[in-house]
Amino acid sequence: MKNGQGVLWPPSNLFRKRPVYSGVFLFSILELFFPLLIRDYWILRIIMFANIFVIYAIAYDLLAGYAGLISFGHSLFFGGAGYVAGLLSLNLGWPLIVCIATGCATALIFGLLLGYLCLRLKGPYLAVVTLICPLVLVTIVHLSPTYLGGDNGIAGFAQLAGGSLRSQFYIVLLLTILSLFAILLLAQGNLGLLLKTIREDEMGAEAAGINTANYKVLAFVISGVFAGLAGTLYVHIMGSVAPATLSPHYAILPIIMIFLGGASSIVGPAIGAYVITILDLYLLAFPYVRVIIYAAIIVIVLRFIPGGLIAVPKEIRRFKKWQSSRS
Amino acid sequence: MAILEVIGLSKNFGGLTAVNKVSFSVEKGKVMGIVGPNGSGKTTAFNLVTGFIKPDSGRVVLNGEDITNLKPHVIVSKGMARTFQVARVFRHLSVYENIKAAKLLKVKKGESLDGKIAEVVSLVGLKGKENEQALNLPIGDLKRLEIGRALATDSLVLLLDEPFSGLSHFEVGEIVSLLLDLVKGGMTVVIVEHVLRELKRLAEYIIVLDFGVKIAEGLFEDVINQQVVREAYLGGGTGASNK
Repeated sequence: MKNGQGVLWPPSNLFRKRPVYSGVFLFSILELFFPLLIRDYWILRIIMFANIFVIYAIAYDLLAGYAGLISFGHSLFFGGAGYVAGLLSLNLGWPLIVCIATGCATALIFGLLLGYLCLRLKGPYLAVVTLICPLVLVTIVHLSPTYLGGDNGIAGFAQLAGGSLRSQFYIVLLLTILSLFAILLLAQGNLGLLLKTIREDEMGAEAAGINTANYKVLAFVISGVFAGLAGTLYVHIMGSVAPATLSPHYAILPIIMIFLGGASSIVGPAIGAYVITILDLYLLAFPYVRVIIYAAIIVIVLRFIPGGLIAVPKEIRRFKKWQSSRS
Repeated sequence: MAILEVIGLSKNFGGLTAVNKVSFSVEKGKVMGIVGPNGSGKTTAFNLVTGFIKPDSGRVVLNGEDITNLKPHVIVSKGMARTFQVARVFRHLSVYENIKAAKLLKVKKGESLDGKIAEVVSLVGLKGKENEQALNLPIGDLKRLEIGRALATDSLVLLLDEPFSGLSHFEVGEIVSLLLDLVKGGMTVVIVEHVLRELKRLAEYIIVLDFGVKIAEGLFEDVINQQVVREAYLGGGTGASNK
């Protein structure tokens, strides 16, 4: 930045007038005690996965909610980074932190490529191109059973913290809190405003002197890196990675999460991530019912609370006001 | 000295020549009008000058610097901002945020961003509406907001595409006096408009386009009374289009 206000820094004051952020903060502190309070292995594991999907969903919200670039292929970053980290860990035996960092770097490059590829695309065209990208990667994986594991994926590489659930939980929690605050600062600050102008009116943004192309690519990159972080954490907890991580299912999940929670609010998608992850894991056994339920959730939310779960208090206040104005 | 110079600008859309070798120049601190009937290429000429469409041939020179083929936001950073026929404001953002987005990258070190935004907001007469969402504003305020956004980019030249369309007579008067104030402060303004009655109060110098060709140019009163201009607007036996 030559002169003047930085776009990325300084961010606006988060806690000034938004109690919801204090809520996030309190919840993060509460989660620090979860491993001590919750004895059930599976419940703790599900909460840990929910935290991973929080990173995934808020990363997606920056791109889809703020910049308005609704990608149908975010699993490219999630699964792509996961595959890179897994392959490095299995074949070269690199330390996990290096594998995770390399996975995120790969996501960054994917973000640059996809960003430039999609510069002139909008709406349905953007959706189709982004939808195809991870599917191309899936095909490559299918075609290479020897090196990339084919349909079975790859398994047997190092697990995060040697497989100790409690350590894994804390590592994931720390990274989730860091990601949450990093993305909140970016989204509530100047970058968030500039991305919103692209969502609102791209020509208008250009007329306001905003380099829309740069910011669109930047949105893809930042969003991709955090989605990649979520993906690498996910595969290193599983100790395996399957082509399913690149599938449309993993691309649709963050979309449902942000609409359920409330798009372009970061905190909303985090709430959405919790609800959907828990639902997703309980519905694992019923793949077809799962799709129907997700579709129903989307329709109901968009019809009755378009602002998502985060807007429920506002809707209630409005309803009360409307009621009192009638009587 | 001419601050904006357009030399032989042309653009074809398929077989249709939307703008055909149009040239004009604007002096610093003056108001120039571009008039012409619907479909005469006024808006296309605007899009060519501001970089939203790339010209097939011709040059655009701003302040002595060739800005042909530059991207729109680069042209804005060089000091020429525009508005649109249908206001392209950021609908779900507040008035404050609309101005802030344009001002953000223009504030120099040591200047207060909020102060600069407040300056622009009160200049265009939107004081007290800073926190209103743009989509709740009446059309007159939208036009003001868009002019404000263009001003917030520290522009030297303002290009307004039909700033009076859809406004009441009273609202037009307000915008006109706002623009006259700006011009008094040294701003250069180019206006596309086909409501001649309103334009008369602002622009002393106009050019007339018809079917993409510049058919007349000069002082307002002289041009309006020319035979070709009347024929372009009203039609006639030897219309300019048939020449």
